[in-house]
Amino acid sequence: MTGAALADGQTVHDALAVPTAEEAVRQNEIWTLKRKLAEEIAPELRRHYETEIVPRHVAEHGAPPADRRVIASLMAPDPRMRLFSALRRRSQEQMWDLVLTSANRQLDRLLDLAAGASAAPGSLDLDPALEIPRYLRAVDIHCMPTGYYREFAPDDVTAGALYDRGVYVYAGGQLGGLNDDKGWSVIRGYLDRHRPGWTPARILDMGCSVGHSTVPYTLRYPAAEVHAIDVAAPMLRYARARAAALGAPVHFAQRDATATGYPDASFDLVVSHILLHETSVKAVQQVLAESYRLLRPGGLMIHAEYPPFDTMDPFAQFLVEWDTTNNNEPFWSKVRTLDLVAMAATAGFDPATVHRELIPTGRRLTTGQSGSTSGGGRMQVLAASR
Amino acid sequence: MTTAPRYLGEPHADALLSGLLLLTQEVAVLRHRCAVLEAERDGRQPPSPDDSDLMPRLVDELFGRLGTTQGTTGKEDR
Repeated sequence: MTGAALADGQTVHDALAVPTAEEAVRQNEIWTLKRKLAEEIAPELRRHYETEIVPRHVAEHGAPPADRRVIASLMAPDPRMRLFSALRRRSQEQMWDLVLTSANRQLDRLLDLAAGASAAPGSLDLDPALEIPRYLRAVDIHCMPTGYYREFAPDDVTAGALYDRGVYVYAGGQLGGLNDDKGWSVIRGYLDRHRPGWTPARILDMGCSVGHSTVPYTLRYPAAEVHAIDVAAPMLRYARARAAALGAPVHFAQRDATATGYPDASFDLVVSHILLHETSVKAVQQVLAESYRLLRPGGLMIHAEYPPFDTMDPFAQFLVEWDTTNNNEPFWSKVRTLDLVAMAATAGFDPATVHRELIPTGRRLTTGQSGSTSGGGRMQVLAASR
Repeated sequence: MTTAPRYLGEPHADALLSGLLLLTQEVAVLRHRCAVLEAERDGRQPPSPDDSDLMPRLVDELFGRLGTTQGTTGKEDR
């Protein structure tokens, strides 16, 4: 069940790793630091770049810096940029550490809750033999010390609990009290506009993590059978407990979105939310092909991802690319350069049905233009019909 | 686990910065404890855990020493 909100606005539910007052104070300090860096320091760096570095580069080379990589080379030695980078990296590491301490303190309760969720509507189907893709094993994605998949206890849920609370602190609450803004943004910003009145019978959410974006589909399409897959068992166990706490009947399964194992033509709607940038070029192509295979005639594929580089200026691209190497997001930049429309056609979709558009999100931090790290209040949607 | 990169040129500067951030968090906790005790003494509601301007002031101070003129140190508007 859901209850009141924490002081910072996150909706409390039974599965949430609720911080003590003093844990909340520490987490709030990191939240405040992150906001300060995004809202004041990043724009200050842009002003420095535009008023000092660009004129100097024009004087020396006859033109402004050509692209984000040149900008990175020019900004790297700057003491303000180095301090900004140091503060961003340390704030990210300390954020996860703080939330992990809080989650570990409550681990017995969370494990019991997850074990007891089996009676709730929906289901959980784990596959211990499923191989975790190398692109998730190679680094601690976004500096998250558990990764998505590591387990520290039998039937562990730590990574899921860490992700649920950590994402809220990371985003400064801008994904909503239930971190569900991306799911609702796709529903309201795309589905309700392009398919008003549609009632898909079976929905699949790929790369669901803890189900932040999955649960809105159970609310918008209450007659649908909603399935959600991820490769990470701790995420799925937590997702199951969280969905049960929220009263959402979701069928969770441990499957790889590149090869799900579901029969052909199993779903009317296949969606993902910020899954693609956590994979690889090869995996993206496989995910699109699998989406095509899984859709019934008339079905719809939607993959929501952060905006591509061609929608932002070079300095915003430079700030976005910071995360690629500094926040352990190896595919963060590459996915923004892909021709996803062409890749969807290669996957089998009729090119006439494939399109890409930007939809608004609830995120308040405005645009990559002013220093947001993830594209601000917009999200890229790749959509195609079977 | 991946090794954290170093950004600051001086020896141990990155580690010192980490310590400074941790210290700021503990100062915030101590301030919160004092505020809770004062609220109890005065019969008021306990203060919110997010009532702190320490990090913005720290950031302003750090960047100020690099010669920039940063914005206000005011309380965050949530």
